[in-house]
Amino acid sequence: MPEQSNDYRVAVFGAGGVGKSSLVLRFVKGTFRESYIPTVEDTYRQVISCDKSICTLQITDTTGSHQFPAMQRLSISKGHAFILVYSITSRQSLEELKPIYDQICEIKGDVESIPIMLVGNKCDESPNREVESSEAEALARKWKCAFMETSAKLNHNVKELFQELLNLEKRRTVSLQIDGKKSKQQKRKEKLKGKCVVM
Amino acid sequence: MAVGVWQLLLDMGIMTSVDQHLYFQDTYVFYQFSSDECSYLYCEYEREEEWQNGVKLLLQLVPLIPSRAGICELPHQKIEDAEETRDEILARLTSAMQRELAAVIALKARKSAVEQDEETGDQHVALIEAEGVPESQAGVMCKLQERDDIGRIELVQKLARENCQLLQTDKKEQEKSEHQEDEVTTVQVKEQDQNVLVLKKVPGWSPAPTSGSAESDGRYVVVSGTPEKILEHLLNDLHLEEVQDKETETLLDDFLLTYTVFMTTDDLCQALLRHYSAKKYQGKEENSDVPCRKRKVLHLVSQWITLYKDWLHEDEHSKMFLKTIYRNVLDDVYEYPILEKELKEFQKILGMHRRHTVDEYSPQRKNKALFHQFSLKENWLQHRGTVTETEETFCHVYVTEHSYVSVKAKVSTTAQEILKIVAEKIQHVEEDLALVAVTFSGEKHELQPHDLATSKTVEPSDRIYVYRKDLADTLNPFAENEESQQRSMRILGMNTWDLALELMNFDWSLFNSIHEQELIYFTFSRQGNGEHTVNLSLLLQRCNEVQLWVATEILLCSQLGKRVQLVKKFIKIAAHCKAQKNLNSFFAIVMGLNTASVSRLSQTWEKIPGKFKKLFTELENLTDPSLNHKAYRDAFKKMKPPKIPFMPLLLKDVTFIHEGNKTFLDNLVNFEKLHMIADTVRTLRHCRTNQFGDMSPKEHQELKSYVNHLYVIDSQQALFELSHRIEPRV
Repeated sequence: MPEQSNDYRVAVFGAGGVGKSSLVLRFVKGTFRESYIPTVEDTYRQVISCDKSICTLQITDTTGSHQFPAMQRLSISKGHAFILVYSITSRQSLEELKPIYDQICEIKGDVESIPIMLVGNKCDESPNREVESSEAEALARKWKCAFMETSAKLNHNVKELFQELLNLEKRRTVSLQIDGKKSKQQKRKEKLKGKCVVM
Repeated sequence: MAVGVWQLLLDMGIMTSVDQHLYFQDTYVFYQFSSDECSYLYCEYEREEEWQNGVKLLLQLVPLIPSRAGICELPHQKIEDAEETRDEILARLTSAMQRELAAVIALKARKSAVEQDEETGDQHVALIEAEGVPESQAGVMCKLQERDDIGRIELVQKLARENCQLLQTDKKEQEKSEHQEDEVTTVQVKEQDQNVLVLKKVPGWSPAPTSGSAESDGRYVVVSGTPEKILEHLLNDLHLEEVQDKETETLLDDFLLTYTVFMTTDDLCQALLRHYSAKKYQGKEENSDVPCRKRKVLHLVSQWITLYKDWLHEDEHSKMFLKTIYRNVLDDVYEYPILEKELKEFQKILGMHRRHTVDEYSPQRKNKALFHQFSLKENWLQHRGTVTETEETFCHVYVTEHSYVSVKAKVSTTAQEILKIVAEKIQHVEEDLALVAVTFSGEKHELQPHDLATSKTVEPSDRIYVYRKDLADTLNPFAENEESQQRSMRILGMNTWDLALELMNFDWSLFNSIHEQELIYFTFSRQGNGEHTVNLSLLLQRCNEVQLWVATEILLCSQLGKRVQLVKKFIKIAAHCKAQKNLNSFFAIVMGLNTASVSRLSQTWEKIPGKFKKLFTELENLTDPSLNHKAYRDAFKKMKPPKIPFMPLLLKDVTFIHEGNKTFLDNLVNFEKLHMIADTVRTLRHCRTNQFGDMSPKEHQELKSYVNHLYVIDSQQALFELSHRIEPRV
């Protein structure tokens, strides 16, 4: 598969209603559930640093494509890192992640070198909790991936989630922070940010 | 001075205050032109010169009107030059405003000339006697210079067009909008302190002037509102001329496509009847308004029927409604002969449907499922009869546990017919085979030739298997034998272009059957038993099957040389699909070739000539999901209809709109969202604007049945096993 140099692709999976879109929106735009229009860029973009140069973080939200295993497979085969989202208020949503995880293993082969994050969203709704975090942690150990609980609503752990995910990438150095020479890069960043239209 | 002009217009009845004030006030009160005059397009004052005269006339009349100083808050400023004032007024008025005003004045002038100016004359005398001539009322000017006043003029202009009532701009909203964009203006209509309708000004798009009322300086679109107010606004906006302006047409379409989301069909029927037979309209009805409004309602109804087709005839409420309104029109046509045109049109539409009803008994009638109605806010149509006889489904006949032949069958198709297709497909003698229904718990029973394969004898959870009679067990088509080699020979012998054409024909028939409403239902009903999205799910299923078919064919071919041929063949078919603008199958084939179990066949891919590899890379780039499938979107936009979109992506878009935006905002319908969804639905319409003729030049039965009934392995696991068998891991 031809590797596109300047993109780092993260695919987000999860059952309907677990808050995939909210998480991504919160991360990219810093808002929660603002209206948006899916014209051209639903693959959200964010500028990050990668091996000391700037690259684009592309987030593929798989919302709405669950009837299309082929589309999910496409996202997996093109993806570099994966976020598996369930809602802590729904055991069902955690169980639905299993086939997706299996598929990632199948397509990617050796998953240990691939950043995967198991995410329990909606941790602001803990009175309705159905999935204990210890349980999810155990599953994450079994899956050899990382685990985190978030709340897109309260903006809890959202940025951390993406940072942690990038930290898991061992094949190259990727980071949300863009350091090094400011002037030119900063300008470029601003420029890119201007273009960073969500959805 | 300007106040005077407005007051004059008000006094003359050219303009009326929305809340029945008698005096013109330069505050947050809104005025509208009397609607009867607005619909007249002809105008003597149209030319610039005439307009100047008209304004002069007005200005001359102004001094005759007493100052209502107690009501108008006038700054103590004097503007000496009347000339300049007038110019200023002119400058302030947008051209649309000028035209509307001119048209109205011209008409009024003509009318009063004919009617004898008893009333107006009296009034004038009275006015002169009353208080003398107020000279200095120029205060408005400074006020007009404020931004919001300009906004208000535009608003008045809009009001003139839509005859809207009870408008109040919200000062706060204006301030807010100033932060964002100078051009954005929001108008909120309030009733009893509650917002009932929110409009937003949008910059005018293509200034394609339609007969007279056209304007390029911005329109208002509905942002949100209560269902009733949106309907009312829509009715007000409708023109009775042949050509609707684009915004109104869109609004009408948006409304009709999506109303089921926020109101029941029954509610809509009731509301339309109310509008149709309202005796008085905001208490200031003139005679000519009555038929005008009736015609508008009828126009909406006929659009509705056109859009929903037989759908409306299957629902008790709407059936009743159509009857009632038809009777009403028959009654009214004596009083208002102008309704005749609408009556005829109505009869035509209803007549058409009567013919349809006759057709209902003909066996050819297909896609009954199309007209399944639904409303997301009501349950009364949940229990429709069971599936109708002609409804089509894909019947999966399992050959092994993980592979099946997909047969597009009607409910009335018999087991024998299906068996024939399957036997043909897997190249077995029909007589040796039998169809067996296997229940979830493993019980088996054989289907008799005349059993219906999709009826009561088979539960939805049952699987139909094809067994060899003598073995009473499943076949093993994966075994390396002559048969499997025959399979690949078959497809290799077929003409590639014709094959793609047959794929197109099949997909097109599925795509063409999708009712626009199915997309709305798909989006808003998450429980999704698929009851109302039958045709849509058929196309989606097809997309998956084509993709599996490609992988199945390649992986079932154990000879390397043949396999290379097959891959090349599929690459060519994909290219032809693209050329024929069948993007649904195009994606499916490319994705099939990209399936992990196929793309790992390095021995095969190595032997693919560079030319083909390059072609495949090009095709593959079109499926690149980067930037939300930008490559595909750009390419697809350039294609002329008829064309078949990659459906899953369309559905993904519509799901995103739905999940990312609330349907109700502060108890108002978020109409912007519904507009976006309706826009997506219109994509479907656009793709179908031209119909394909029958493109297969020669009736190629073998090809047809090969393409229509695909034999696929539906388990990734099984596909991987095959893949490893033909090219073991090194």
